[in-house]
Amino acid sequence: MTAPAAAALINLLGYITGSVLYAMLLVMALGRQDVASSIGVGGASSEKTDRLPLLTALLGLAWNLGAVTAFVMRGFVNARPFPLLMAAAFTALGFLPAVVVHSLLRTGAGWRRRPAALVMTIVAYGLSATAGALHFQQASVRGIAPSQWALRILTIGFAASTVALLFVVRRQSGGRRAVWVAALAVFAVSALHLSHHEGREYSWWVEVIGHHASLPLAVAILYEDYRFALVDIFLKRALALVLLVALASGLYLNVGVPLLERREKVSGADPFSVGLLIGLWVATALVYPWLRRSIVRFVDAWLLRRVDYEAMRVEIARRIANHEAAEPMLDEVCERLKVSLTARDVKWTVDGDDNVGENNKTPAGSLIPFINKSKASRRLKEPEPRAVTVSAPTAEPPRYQLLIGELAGGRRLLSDDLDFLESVALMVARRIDAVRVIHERCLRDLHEQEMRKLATEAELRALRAQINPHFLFNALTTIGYLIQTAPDRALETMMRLTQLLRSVLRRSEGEFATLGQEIELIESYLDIERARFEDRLRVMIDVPPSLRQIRVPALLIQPLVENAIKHGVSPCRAGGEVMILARLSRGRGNQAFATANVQVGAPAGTEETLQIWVRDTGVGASERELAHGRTRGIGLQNVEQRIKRHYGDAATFDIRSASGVGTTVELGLPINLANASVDGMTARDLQQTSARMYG
Amino acid sequence: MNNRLRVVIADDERPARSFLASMLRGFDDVTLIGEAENGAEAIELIEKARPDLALLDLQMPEIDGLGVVRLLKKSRMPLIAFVTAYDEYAVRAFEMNAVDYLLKPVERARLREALNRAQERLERAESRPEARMDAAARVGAAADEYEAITRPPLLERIPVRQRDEIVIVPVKEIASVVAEGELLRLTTERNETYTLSYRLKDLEERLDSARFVRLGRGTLANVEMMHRVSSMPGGTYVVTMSNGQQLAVSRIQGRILREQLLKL
Repeated sequence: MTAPAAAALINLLGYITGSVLYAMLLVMALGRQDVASSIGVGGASSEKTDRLPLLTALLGLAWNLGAVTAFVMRGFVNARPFPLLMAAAFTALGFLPAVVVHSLLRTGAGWRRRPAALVMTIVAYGLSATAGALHFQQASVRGIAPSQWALRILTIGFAASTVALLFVVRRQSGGRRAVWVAALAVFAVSALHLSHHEGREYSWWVEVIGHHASLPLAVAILYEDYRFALVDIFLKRALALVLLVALASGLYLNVGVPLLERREKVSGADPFSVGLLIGLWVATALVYPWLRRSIVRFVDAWLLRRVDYEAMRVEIARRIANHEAAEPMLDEVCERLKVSLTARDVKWTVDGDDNVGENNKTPAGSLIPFINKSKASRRLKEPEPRAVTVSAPTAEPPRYQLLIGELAGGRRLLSDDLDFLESVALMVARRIDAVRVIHERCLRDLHEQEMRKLATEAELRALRAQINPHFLFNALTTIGYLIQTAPDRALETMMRLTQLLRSVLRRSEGEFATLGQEIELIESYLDIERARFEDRLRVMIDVPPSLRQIRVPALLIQPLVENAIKHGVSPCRAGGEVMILARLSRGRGNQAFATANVQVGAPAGTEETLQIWVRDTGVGASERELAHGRTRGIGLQNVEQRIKRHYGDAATFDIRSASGVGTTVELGLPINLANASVDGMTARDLQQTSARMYG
Repeated sequence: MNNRLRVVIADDERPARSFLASMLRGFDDVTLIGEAENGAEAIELIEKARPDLALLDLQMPEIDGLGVVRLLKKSRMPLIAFVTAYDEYAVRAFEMNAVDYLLKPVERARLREALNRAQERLERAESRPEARMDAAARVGAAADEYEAITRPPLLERIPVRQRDEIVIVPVKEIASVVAEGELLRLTTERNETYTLSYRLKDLEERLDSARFVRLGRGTLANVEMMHRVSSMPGGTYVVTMSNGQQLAVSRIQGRILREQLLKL
């Protein structure tokens, strides 16, 4: 392989590489404009979208495409390239250094405060414009491009500029300055080379440096502004390609060419060489995937020092599965992300209502993660130019956002970082949803329990209210009278009232009380009523002591007694008798009052019923009145409902009344369940609990 | 002293009555001229003794405080103050109609106020006799309102006046109720008749609708005492009750009656 041939090959490759690099830059610059993020020259530089990288990309692309066209025309078609095309390509090349100077000198501060920088930028553009004018002039007048003078002007001008720049930008960071200045210097040399190019042959490396000065520029820009993108997207592919090309050309030069040369000596026959070429081609094609994978792994692990996202995802998924609340979960995820992204800070915030207005890009009910670069961060007190927010798309608000702060080493989030973030956000969102559903269910259960309890308490309150006001004020009136006439009885009645109030209030602690306690309460109540009605009220209580330990719903019987007085005895001018009777009977049944089957101490284990009768010999009530009382009267309704709730259908409740004869209420409470009941818990609750425990 | 306030008390509970009486005796400008144990006694006492002020307990057997007011002759109506232990509906009705009331246990100062107010009203009534009727009308309005709110249960007995007596008529003994102008005429199974100052519509609401049915615009009849139904020309009927009373049935009610009664 001759030196010129190698140089030509390298030139062609160089131009193609240049085109690709600048095309990449163009794509990135355009993409960046879309996102309107701060990823760009000088990070926090400008609010406006940055047009310089775009301009650079367009110029570089123009130069490389022009050059490659010229090269192809010259080399393969053997025609002279169009002068105007060449002039345009060289003009584009000429403007590149001016743009570089512009980018280098541009900082956040305005031009006015730095006249030197402004002058330099204008001079640089002036140089480029002059050179471009010269190119076009020569191309149109003499049909030759490029203009040697223009190239000389560029060489001298930018060589001088490089020196001047070194002075002007002395305050900028070393690495950045070095890259730019080196790129410019190479460019100046390149222009010099191009100006002497006509008709001479150089070694291939001179060709590389001379003709492809735009390459280091492109690499410099990409390295400066799109470093991670460069490494991630370009370097992986480029390295793979370069290795592939090196392999292919190595094989060709070291295996193919010697073999073919020897073969040619034997005969001119082709099949072998064709077979050899195809074999080599197939071998390289087979090697490529492995090559690419290795490169990717190498770049991720060594150059980007990136953790294995797949493993990380699994790890995070496992971690968040242990959390039962959104906030600690988010804390942990943030911690993990911080390490894996090498971010300075990863925070989470609640995506509040005020945010929605600003981020109107965020669809409020969107179920896909939404990544918003830098917008949210601008709203923070301290600007974090490289912050990225990722919304966790939970089904219901409050929604959370992950705030990824600046990454270490100027690293930026690339497409697969963002993919990773999105998938983590999605995972977190689903987990939060799941946690919320569980939480909601728990809350609902709790709420239901609470409601049941509240209902019971409300009923108790209603019940208490029912005995309270009327009875209470009448009792006080009675006591007031007794104070004047019989102070001893007044005191006694007052103590009874005190006892009654105390025990009614104490009942709120539990739903159940013993029958004995209930009877005591009723006795207190009746004593007071007797003081009020005097001989108009007669009382008979017959409750065997053996039944007094049976637990019954608190304040269940008292309202019945109160009803007997209020609706039976009190409306009757002659008054009446109130009787309270309790018996134990086997099985349930509505035995008539008179034939009450007395069975005290029946063997346990069988279905036993506590029968309670409350009877009065008052005015009685018609069917209609009774129906009215059962549906409208709070007292009877309450008693019926509570019996139903505690015992279901196992209990009986029956009222019989006859006008002018009186009323009898009969209660039948199943005793096993009543005994099994624990304070504050109904028999049904108990059954449900055990069903839950063993079921 | 001529201008001492003459007061009666009605309460079925002796302690409450005595409590109030002893408190009244403590005022030297008040004379307690009588106590009643129930509504009927109260009416009798008021009409006989003609007090200036009656303190009526709201809850009394058979005829309660409001019943007393309803049954009193309008000309004998004294000033009224109701006494109740706890009845928010009654209190509301009284307040809306400027009817005086006392809460049990009655407070001395509160009782004094009620007495003062009664005295003021009496003085005003001397110069303006119609003020007395105003007070009676207000009490009546309060009673109506109270019954409208509380929707009292069905009547089992109806107290009626017969000359100077109050007769308690059990509802099941009533054969028919016929409207005659402003009054209602009750006829019992023994053919006794009483007049009652009540609206037929209101009374119908407080009677068992399964027992009393409408025969015409102004007639209610007890189903259990219907003896014979005779068809008349023109689609009307005549019902003969077990006490011999004959009642005409309007054409429209006749149809309803057929539906309800004349089916096996």
